[in-house]
Amino acid sequence: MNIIFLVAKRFLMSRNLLEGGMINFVSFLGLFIGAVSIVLSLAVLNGFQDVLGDETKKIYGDYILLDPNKDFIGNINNDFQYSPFYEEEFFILNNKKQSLIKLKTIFSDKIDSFYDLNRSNGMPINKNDIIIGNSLSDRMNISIGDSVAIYDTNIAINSLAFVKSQNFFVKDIYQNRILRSDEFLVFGAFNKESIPDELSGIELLGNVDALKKEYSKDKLIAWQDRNRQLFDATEIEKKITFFTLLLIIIVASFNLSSSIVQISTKKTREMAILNAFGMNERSISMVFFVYGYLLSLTAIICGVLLALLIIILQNQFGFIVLNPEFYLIDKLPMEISFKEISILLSFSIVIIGIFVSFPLLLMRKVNPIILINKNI
Amino acid sequence: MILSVKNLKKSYSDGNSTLEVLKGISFDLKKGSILTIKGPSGSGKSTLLSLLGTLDTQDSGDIIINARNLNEYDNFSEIRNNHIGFIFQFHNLIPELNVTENICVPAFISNKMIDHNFLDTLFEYFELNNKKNAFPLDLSGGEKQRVSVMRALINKPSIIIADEPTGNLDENNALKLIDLFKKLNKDFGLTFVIATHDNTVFDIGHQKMELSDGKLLKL
Repeated sequence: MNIIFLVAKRFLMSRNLLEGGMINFVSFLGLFIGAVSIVLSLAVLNGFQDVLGDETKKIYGDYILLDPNKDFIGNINNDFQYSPFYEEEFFILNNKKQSLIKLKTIFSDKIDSFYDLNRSNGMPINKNDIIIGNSLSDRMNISIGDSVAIYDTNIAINSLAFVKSQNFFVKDIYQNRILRSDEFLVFGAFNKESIPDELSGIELLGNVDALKKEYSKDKLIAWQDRNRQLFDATEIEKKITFFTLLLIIIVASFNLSSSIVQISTKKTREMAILNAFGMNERSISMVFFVYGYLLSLTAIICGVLLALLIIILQNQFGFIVLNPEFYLIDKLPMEISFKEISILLSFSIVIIGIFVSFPLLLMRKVNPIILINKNI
Repeated sequence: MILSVKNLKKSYSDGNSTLEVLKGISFDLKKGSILTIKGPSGSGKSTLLSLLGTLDTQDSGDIIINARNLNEYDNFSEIRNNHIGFIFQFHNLIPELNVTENICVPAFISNKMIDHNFLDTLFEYFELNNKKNAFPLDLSGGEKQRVSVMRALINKPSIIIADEPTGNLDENNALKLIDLFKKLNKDFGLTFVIATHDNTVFDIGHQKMELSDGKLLKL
């Protein structure tokens, strides 16, 4: 049996609650809370990032292919879905209110097969129909069935000094607040008969691995890259959260150092006995090193396990609810990331190693004669 | 000889004055014999035993245990672990470890496989079979001291060093311990160096010495 591990374990599970138990418990609690906080916070941020991704894909697809050549659509295989589109900014006018919109024109059959717009009535759209977002509808007082005027942002005036405009029927209203799309993004429809000459791009859903070999990254753009600023912001937020909450672990590690000093002070007689029976100074220091690691890793692993349990229960039962009008979803999203848990454990091992070693450097050498003879 | 001590000197200094505790101690001890040392408090008995047990180092002189001159060693951990067994006045058991674990501490330190037959023999011999898993807090004073003796024996050391082994025991338990030492010496041929105030303990010695004024006198 390894005496270092045995003694460290027994110091940790002290029978004397006041002498060792409370000291151990306080150190345990700090690291435990730190681990729970980090895993839960990152799980929520991951959850929201997933929601962000899912909602974005509903209106933008997984990828966009820019400047597709004419042969592309004819040669498409079945690995992915596609939706050619043309996109341009216009003004929309209704009852003396106007707003800048982005009109995304797509094939009418793609509106439900490719996009997931959470529409009010699901009616099919034709060439002069549009689908507007819920926020735009509220702001402009536009209802389903209304006729609205859309005109070019270049304000080209005809010979009679009228601004060229075209009327569209609002066929449906969609709900998707991601990237504030429902405030400005309006869907229109191409003629069914032919692919237009001019396209802004083709949006793609599914496995596009075959295309990655054929097109460069500036032509075939993933949804994350298409919304790089937003995606980067969520990543930075995750990193800041991780390092901020890691401070809890660091502060708790100070407490751990203090616990080791206290325990080593209380256990000098035991150390002297071990020394008298042949344990060298290095092994005696290792007892406290192992003690520190046992305590802290137990606390962190317990914290991670509790956090995982909470995440599983939340995903199963959704006991923490959200207002979907603000958060897009009705329950708090949580996503387990084993990569981040591994990073947390790695960081913790390094931090704890530093804080456990520090008191050992300051620990006085055991003098077995004085301690044993005086029966300290 | 299992133990030879030649011209052993030890003094303590507080900066202003020097106190010479041992002024050239010499003796030889045969394997399987008992050396008892008595002397008044402060005469240097514990200092001598600390030097013999490698817990402290001498100013000059030689200590030769099992043909190993300790002056040739820098680290005494291995010698303490394998060649010397300690019995202290106070049992000095580790409260967090149970009886079996306390007994096996020296074996655990040397990473030796526990000789379970020997351990069972010891439990039988010391009549502690029903206390194997008990913790020191649950033992009587006599039982604690018997456990500390078993701990001293587990690595089958060359010499057992006992400093006032009965000093913390009542008369009944002290007599039992003395009988035990005699029995261990007879049954296992163990070598003992015992420092004591107690004349009953002193009398079990094959070699009896008195430490007085830093010198060891044969009685």
